[in-house]
Amino acid sequence: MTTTQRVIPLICAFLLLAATRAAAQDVDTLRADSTAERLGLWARANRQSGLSLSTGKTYNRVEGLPVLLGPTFRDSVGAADINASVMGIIRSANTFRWDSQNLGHRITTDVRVGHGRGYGFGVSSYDVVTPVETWQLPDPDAGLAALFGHRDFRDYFNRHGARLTATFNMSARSSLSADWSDERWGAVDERRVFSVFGNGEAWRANPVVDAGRFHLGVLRANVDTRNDEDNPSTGWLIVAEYERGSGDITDLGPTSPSARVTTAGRVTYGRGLVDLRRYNRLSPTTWFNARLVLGGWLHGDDLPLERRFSVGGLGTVPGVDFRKYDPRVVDVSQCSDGGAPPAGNPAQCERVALAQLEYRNELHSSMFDFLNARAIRLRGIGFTVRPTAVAFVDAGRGWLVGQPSGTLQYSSNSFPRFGTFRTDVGLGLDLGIIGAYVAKSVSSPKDPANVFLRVRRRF
Amino acid sequence: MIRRLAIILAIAVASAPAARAQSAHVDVLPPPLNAWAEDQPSVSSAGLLADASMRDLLSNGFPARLHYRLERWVSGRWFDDLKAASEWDVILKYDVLGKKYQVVRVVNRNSESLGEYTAIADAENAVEAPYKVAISLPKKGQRGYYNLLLDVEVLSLTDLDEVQRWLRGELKPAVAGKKNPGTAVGRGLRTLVVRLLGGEKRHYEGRTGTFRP
Repeated sequence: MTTTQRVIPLICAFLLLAATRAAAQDVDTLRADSTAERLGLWARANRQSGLSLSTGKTYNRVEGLPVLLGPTFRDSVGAADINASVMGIIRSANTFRWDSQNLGHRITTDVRVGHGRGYGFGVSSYDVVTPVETWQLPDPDAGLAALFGHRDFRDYFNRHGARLTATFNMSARSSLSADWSDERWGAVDERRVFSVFGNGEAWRANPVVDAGRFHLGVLRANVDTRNDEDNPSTGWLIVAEYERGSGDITDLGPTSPSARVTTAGRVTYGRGLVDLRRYNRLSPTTWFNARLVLGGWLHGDDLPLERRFSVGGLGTVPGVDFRKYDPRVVDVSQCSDGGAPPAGNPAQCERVALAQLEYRNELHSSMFDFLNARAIRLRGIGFTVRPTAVAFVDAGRGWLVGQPSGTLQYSSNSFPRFGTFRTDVGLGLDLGIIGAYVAKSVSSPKDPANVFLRVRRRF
Repeated sequence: MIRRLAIILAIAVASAPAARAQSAHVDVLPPPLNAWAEDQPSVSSAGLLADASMRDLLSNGFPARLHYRLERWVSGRWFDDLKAASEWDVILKYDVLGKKYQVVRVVNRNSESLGEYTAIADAENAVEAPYKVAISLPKKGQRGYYNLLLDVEVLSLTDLDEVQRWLRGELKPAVAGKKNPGTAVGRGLRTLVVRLLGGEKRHYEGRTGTFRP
């Protein structure tokens, strides 16, 4: 390994840590310079432009670390804020090799009127790598697992196209939006990407997904009544999304025989996803939180592989091994029929249901007082630690829609029996910035317990 | 191995009182005579800006923003209810030309100057002095408590802004040949990582005990 090859992963690691931490801080919620504007205390022009360098705030086995470079522009005209950027993307995979899979772009322009209630419009053009299932795991958890543990809990595909967006903001954190986009989807391969542990070992294959051109219309509602985004004690977070897609599939990705009957050609589909979270405070130091996710096919043709679902693993039912294949066992996590699944064991379910319950209790034991005494220091950076014990249960599964067949396929208006769900129970210690957990599968009692780390809260 | 762990634990426990003495914290102070139904509580803090890295950033002109949120909760049979909340900001900025620290409190978009100070310690005292919060009062007999959330951060936090500063600031002399580019790049990366890892954004919480007015 040359010096350059050694240095680049280290820089990637540095930048990723920075990016994931930044994501965890939800920097976007703080409108840049709003306070300065309000106060007029220090001179800073509203208009800003310049060359920007940023990370994609992710790290994965397909891209490594995406680095964005390009000009940005911000201005305000009356009550309207205007943001524009033209970012080129170079990915660190294969040591920043200059090839088509390592290059991309993201060009965006958006106008937002009103800082709480208001509306906005946006237009963008992009050539980006996107996760298949973004609802399962936040970027920091996925990125850190890939960087440090050589485990990538997501699959990815390429989206190249343009999008128009209109948004009505009901408040600073709640909105209704409509998107229309014209995109070309394509499969991407896992590449040579550095990881701190297990570097050099083979990554799990990134499944081959459907390739083709699609027109997508998306309606999305985001209702957030939580008292605090990072550490909510009460309130709802509801994300509901309906997508109508139509397009031509030119290359079908491989699936298990029972997973679909579609042949390449024209498809039109409807897909919905609801992610419902409720946070409750039981006492000053105890909380009871719940999450329900329902998603899947609503009408039309079979869903493309990019729009399918799975459960199991870190973000959903952590007691169940992620993408585990048991020969001759019908898999209600990925919806394979017991035969050997395609490489990477992709998400193939057309519908999914997931329920998570969590009880949290802030600890006051003297054992942890020294942790609470002052911020823990990590390379000169302080984090305030509030140790909280967490007990949780999860249940979830996916299924196919069609002629009822065994425990894998159900008619469109029926719901699987609860006894067929994958379930687990677990315990953890949440230290504020990171939590350590152990989860044990109940539905497969012979499987050993899984130990895992999460950045901040599970949901 | 066990012995080493025991030693580390013992040192940590032994150092706890010293650590506690210098820890940053926020407090919700009860109203005079514990008249919860007649008067609002006050909020005070200590040691929030005492950290060397925070002071270094302040003295280099990065304004600090302290965002407070005081919540009044009512104890319920099953779940507690959030009945009221009040939010405000305190801004601290060093005027490099005037060599003064300016402290301003912003409530409902109205700003109020808390003074200008030549010494950081005086400015810190102004920031952390008790402040009576305008929040609706609990009804008589209603069991509840106050919960305070505080986020301390340095404006502005986007990594784009940070890198822009770096490109305009530290890297510029290096590009012009006045500094070693390697050092500038290293320093810039280090600064970026340290800032984005959260060195200047910290979260604190404080609570009263449960009371019944």
